[in-house]
Amino acid sequence: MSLPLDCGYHLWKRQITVNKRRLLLITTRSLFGTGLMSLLEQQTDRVAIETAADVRTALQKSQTFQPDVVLYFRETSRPEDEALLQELMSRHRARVIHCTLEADRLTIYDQTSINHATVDDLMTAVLK
Amino acid sequence: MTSMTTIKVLVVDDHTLFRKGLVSLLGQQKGMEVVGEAKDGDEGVRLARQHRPDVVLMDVKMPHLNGIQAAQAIRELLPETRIIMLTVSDEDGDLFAAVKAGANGYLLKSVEPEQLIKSIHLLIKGEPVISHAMASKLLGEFRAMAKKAEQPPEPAPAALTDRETDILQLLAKGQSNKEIGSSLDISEHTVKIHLKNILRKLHMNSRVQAAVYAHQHGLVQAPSPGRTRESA
Repeated sequence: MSLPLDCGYHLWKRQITVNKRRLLLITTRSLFGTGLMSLLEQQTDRVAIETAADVRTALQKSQTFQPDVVLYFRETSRPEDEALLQELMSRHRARVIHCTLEADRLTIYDQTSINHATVDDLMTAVLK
Repeated sequence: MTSMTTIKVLVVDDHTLFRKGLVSLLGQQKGMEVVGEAKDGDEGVRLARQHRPDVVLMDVKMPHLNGIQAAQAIRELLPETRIIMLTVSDEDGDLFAAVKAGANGYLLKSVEPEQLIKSIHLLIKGEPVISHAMASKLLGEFRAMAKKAEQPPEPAPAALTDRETDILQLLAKGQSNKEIGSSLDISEHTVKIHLKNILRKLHMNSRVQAAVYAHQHGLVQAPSPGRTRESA
């Protein structure tokens, strides 16, 4: 069977996509969430991004998206989200990174905590 | 403004990821240029002096110089610069302090980006901007002030006689009518008559209100700090 002429390109493209970190971003349409999205969009050569407005939606989307990393960025933490995040971690072995506006701390579940994290800190945690 | 179309913006916020995200967002807006970003109030004032921005987006709670103090400094340095407080704080105290410091706007960080952009343009046209929730608080404060202004003014302590002032001072120290009577060597009945006159003159209904009045008008001296009780 002959291959289409552009098969090499598609294989290369597929390989690139496979190599990207699959990032599931849980956030709102607020300044914080949109600003973060804007920063991550500058890294699209390294990350593939999917968004969800809340953890429940993230759980559904993760079944098809299969994230490597889950970013939970909100103004404030919601205690009811904690159990859902744990479930998400156990299902997909995804690294969960948490940051809120109320506490300027990047928490990489559950081992690392970085106060006053920079964009480099965030990207290091995402790409690790 | 540098030209008819470009609004120069300075972002001052100690939360790096929030600040960087905001700078990235604003950088994508046509007609807007982020001329600087600062991580605290000190740096914010320095960069404002250096870049003379049209608009400063300022957080309230920051290390070194906080947002209120920085807003006040920028207002004095650059009266034409518009300042929007952009904060998670919905506390009345921060809102009123920001208004007093000369801020032209007060928005919560939960605002959507489109609303912020719209607010910046409104501000440039000279309109103040404020989150709905905070506007209600501000109106509530104005209502309270207006109500207070309608009430008859409190009489000055001078309206009381010397004897009434003595009684008020002792009352404010927590003494009963009987104790006041023995302190001033007058009968309890006389104390009651004086007290009735004091309340009438001050337009008050209770001795507690009168005691508060005495404290507020400096009629009661606080005990000197070095004074200690001697043992018998």
